[in-house]
Amino acid sequence: MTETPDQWVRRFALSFPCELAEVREACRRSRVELAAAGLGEDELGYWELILAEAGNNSVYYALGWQKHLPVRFEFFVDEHWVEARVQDHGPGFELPDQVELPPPDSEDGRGLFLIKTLTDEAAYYRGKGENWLVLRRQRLTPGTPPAIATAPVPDDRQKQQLADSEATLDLMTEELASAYESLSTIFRFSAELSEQPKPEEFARKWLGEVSKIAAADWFILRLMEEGEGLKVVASSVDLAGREVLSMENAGEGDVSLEMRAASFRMDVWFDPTHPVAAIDPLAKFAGQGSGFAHPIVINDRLVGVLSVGRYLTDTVFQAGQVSLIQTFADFLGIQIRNAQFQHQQLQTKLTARELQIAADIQRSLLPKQLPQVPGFELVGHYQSARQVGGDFYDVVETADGGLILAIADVMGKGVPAAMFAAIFRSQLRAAAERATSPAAMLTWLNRSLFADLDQVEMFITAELVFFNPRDREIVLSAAGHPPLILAGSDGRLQEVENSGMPLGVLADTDYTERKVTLPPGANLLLFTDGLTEARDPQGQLLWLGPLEKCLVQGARTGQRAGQTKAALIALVEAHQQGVPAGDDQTFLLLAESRSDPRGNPAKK
Amino acid sequence: MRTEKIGPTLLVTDVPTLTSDNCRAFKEFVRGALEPGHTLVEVDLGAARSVDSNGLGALISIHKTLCGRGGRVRLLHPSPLISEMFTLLQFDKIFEIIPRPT
Repeated sequence: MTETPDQWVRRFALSFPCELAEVREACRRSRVELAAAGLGEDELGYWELILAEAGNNSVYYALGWQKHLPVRFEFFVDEHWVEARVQDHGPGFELPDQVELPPPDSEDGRGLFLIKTLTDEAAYYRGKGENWLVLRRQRLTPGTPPAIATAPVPDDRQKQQLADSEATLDLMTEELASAYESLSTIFRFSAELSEQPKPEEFARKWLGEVSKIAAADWFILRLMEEGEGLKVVASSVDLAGREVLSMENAGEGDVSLEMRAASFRMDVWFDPTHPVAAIDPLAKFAGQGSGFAHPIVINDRLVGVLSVGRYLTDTVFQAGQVSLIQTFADFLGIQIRNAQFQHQQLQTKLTARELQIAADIQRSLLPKQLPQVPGFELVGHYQSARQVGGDFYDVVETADGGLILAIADVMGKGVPAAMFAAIFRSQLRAAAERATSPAAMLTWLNRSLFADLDQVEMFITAELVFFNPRDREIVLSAAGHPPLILAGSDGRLQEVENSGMPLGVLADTDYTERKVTLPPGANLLLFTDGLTEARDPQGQLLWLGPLEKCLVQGARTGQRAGQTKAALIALVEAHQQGVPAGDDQTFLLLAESRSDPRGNPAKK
Repeated sequence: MRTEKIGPTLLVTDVPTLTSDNCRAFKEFVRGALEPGHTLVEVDLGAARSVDSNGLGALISIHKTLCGRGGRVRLLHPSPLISEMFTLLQFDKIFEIIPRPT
């Protein structure tokens, strides 16, 4: 119970377990306190009845876990009024303006009627986890004026003034000392921060320091972890399995002093008259002691909760000590938030750097200049997605004057995909020197890469085309890759498919191949699925049709390879309407060059 | 609490309080003392320091029991505060109330 006898407004409070038998005792104790505040016998009777009704309702309507929380009476008494506030933790109710009497034979329903009738003002405020019934009643006879104001004897007044002055000076001294302690602690704290210690160790060490200064027996610091709740990061006590308080379980959580501090964003105190619930994780330490839970809120965001306490209540925390703990907790919260922010920024930078590395690898893989053969033009295109993928293309000249066209898509994103693209290119170049056919080459590449790909559960789709310009023939083989498209100047179109398993899926697999003669005025397109799976703002895929039309158009009109390439890119961009590509977009285009737009070969 | 049986009357005395914490016990105590011939229950509230709405509910409950057998309940000597509450709640229309001697 607390009291401020040196002020005219008398305040006191008491808490009691949520049980009917305790209501009676609480009413008796309240009556004694109100009598000490100068209320007459009649008024005491009214208030005892009012409090009994309010207290009983608090007990009757508490459900489940709410019964573990205490009911609290608070009183404010001045010369003309008595105000009582009754805190309950039940579901709450709507207090009507007018309460009617129940039928004469009803055994209940008279409590609210009595409360409304016997008080001058009654209001009920519902909150999250707690409600307050505020009741005011005018005093029947004005109270006795305060001793300070009326004490006529000069000596007594002087003594009182002296005592008041001394008390004020004591308070100021204590405030100054605590301010000094706060500043001094924060300076030392800041100095150590420059060494960038681990947040948990740092918090544990400095909370130990602050506990000593504030004479706290124990402390628990919980920080808000996304998706988990309030998690202990530093504690001087063993919480035995109660290290995490889930914010999702708000019902049970509200029993916890720390959760209430977190939910209401305000300090929640405990002492023997306002005890913690038996199932509260703090019950083991807070039992007969006193202390409080302080929410750490930075920029309107809950960072954590710091709880401190003393095992015994012979000395309560002084205002200066409370101020020190609160100041330090808030400062610690800012530091932790800054550390978290810096960590996030570092992660963002690392990710950006990784993507940059991946993009650099990708670029380095692409041929600086594509080899050309007489009568044909060869162009390539690579557009990386926001997250760099593993697409690449390559063209290798063969000893007999032909070309090996290769296009591949490594499953995955970022550096790993880029690294495998680099390995694949290196192996491809090595295989090209002795390869006699695309199928044999894919078979060898699969055996060569399988172990590495399998280990990281990745795979590669690829397509190889051996092109003999003299015979106007292509031989193709593919590993899980989309078909190539072949268009002639006569407008005919072929999707040439020949696909086996992607590389890295089966340890030992053979690939087949197909031979195709190029039509006059041929346009040959090898591409990755990032091209056909380009999406518009509604999420619709581009698919193959528009690409094929574009390719046919190029072949029919005898466009140069560069023109058809530009048309294909424009087509994809028009479809996407600014939507960033979700995957790399890559293609290789072989176009027969001709001066005769009817499609006759320029050179055989 | 004590009871005294005087012919058709059951007199209940020494009721210290009639509140939420003892209203159930009070009902059971009175019903347990009732005999078939009792048609009047007198509850002496002279010693009752406090009565709340739950205690009033207990009195209503006993009143209904007595009505069921053609009897009634009489309330004796309530304190001025309790009397005022009875008036406020219109108990004087349900019970016969005998004021405290002046």
